[in-house]
Amino acid sequence: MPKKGVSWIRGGFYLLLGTCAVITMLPLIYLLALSVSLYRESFTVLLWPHSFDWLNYVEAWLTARLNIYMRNSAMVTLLALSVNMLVGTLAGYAFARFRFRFKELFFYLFLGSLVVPGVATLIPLFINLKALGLLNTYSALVFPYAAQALPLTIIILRGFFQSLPPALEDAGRMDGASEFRIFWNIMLPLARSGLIAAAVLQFVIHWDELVMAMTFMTDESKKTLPAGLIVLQGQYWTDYPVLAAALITSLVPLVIIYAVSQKYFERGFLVGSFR
Amino acid sequence: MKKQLVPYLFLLPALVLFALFILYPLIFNSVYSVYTMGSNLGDWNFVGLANYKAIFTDFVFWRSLRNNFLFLAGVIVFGTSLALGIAVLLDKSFQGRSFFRTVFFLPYIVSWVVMGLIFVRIYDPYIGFLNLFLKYIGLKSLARTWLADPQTALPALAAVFIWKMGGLAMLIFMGGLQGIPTQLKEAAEIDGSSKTRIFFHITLPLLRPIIAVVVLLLTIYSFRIFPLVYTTTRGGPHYATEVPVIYLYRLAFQYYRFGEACAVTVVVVLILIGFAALRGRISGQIQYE
Repeated sequence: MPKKGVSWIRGGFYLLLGTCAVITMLPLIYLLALSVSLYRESFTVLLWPHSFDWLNYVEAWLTARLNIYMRNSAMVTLLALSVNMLVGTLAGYAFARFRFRFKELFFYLFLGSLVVPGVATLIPLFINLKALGLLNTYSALVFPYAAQALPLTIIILRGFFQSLPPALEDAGRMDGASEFRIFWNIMLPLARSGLIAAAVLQFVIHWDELVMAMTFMTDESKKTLPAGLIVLQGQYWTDYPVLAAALITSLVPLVIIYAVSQKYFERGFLVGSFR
Repeated sequence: MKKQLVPYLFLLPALVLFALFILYPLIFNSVYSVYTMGSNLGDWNFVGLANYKAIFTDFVFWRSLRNNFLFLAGVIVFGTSLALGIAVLLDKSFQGRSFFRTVFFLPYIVSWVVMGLIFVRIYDPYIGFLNLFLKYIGLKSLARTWLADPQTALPALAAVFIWKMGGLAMLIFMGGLQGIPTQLKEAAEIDGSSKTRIFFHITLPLLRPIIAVVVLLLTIYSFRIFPLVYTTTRGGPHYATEVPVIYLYRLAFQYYRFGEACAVTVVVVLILIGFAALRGRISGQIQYE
């Protein structure tokens, strides 16, 4: 595109993109500015705080009990991730590498559930969990989350395993290894990108989940981040800077995870999923 | 014999997890939808199709469907064109390309709850960013009570949705654009076609399957905007932003009409399955062209 004599076009190009980029970033910049604002000065803040007040973050973390919410979210998300990755990788491998009856049927079953929103299972799960006395325990969220993300993991890992050469397996088989050992020792380490992609996508989804978190965990000390933020919304309705600080803090884990996995993310994502 | 069981053993844990936490609840949902259940959860009564009748005669139910579809239409039209436009701009390599790509994708990482809570403030009529900014640049007359005005509430939420999902759509389109063979475009250029003609007559038709994927994705996500609506308007004002998932939630956990809530769920799931099946039909047709 850039040629001699068309610097106008090039300038306009960057201007257009730049404007769009700025508009995209505005809400977050605004939030950042509010999070360090003094309460009484926060009503006229546009993009830059009038003065810097870092106490908002302290208040969010301690008084507003953000630390508890974060801890719960971390536990639930990591546990759900573990269950899901273990179970889903096995299934993805089965779909990629084995021939068996009903293979198509099972796969479409998993695929079909992508369309179903989380709320569809909300009420029955609530009723059953309540009857089993499992409300307000981590299990109430961990297993439904793990199940919900199964189609995602299976699709990504299946795509990934399919792209690996079958020669490796055959070598393993000739050496007399069992199918499981072939899977565990040979194929799994090679699918690292796919595993990371599936894990990162899931992390974002679980970290963010609201309806079940709100419904199954009524005990405040057990609430995850999204549910906790709703509570904060009520408590700090007028003192928005503290809420803003809480919101910024809650974004930090996500940004870190995303940044760290940048390399793996795109490759695995695009290779494995959209046929 | 054992060898044939192996695939099933690999599949078993997934199937069990899936059956327990997705399949059975879905089935129970349909079952519950023909019973009434109040706040005393043990107390069921079979009522046949009465729940369905109740929701089909409730104007809020229809309003919620209408809102969701309007929302969806707006999001698809504006979101897709915006994302496609940016994807096209970012198609060729240039200085700063990955910077822009990261910036546009960033909103996708922000959780729905956080976004809803940010925009409640942004849309605040007195101290929020939008109206303050409009005043600042002299367009005060454009200021509105965005979330309290039945006419602007839904579009306001749609804008938030596009802000978040646009980045994802853009990424998908970028992948699709790269899949288009450059020889085709170069051949057309040599033949003397202008860039715009190339875009509309070569690129766009080839992108159709990708566009279908994006549309389906947006559709699925548009039924999951519970956090967005719950943090901002909770269905108000006057049900202007009422959507099925909010309606469902309110029936169940505010009015304790669980049977009806399940009926709504069944309807929503059927609609979504219908959409997916439709998309399968359309893309199947494209394959044959």
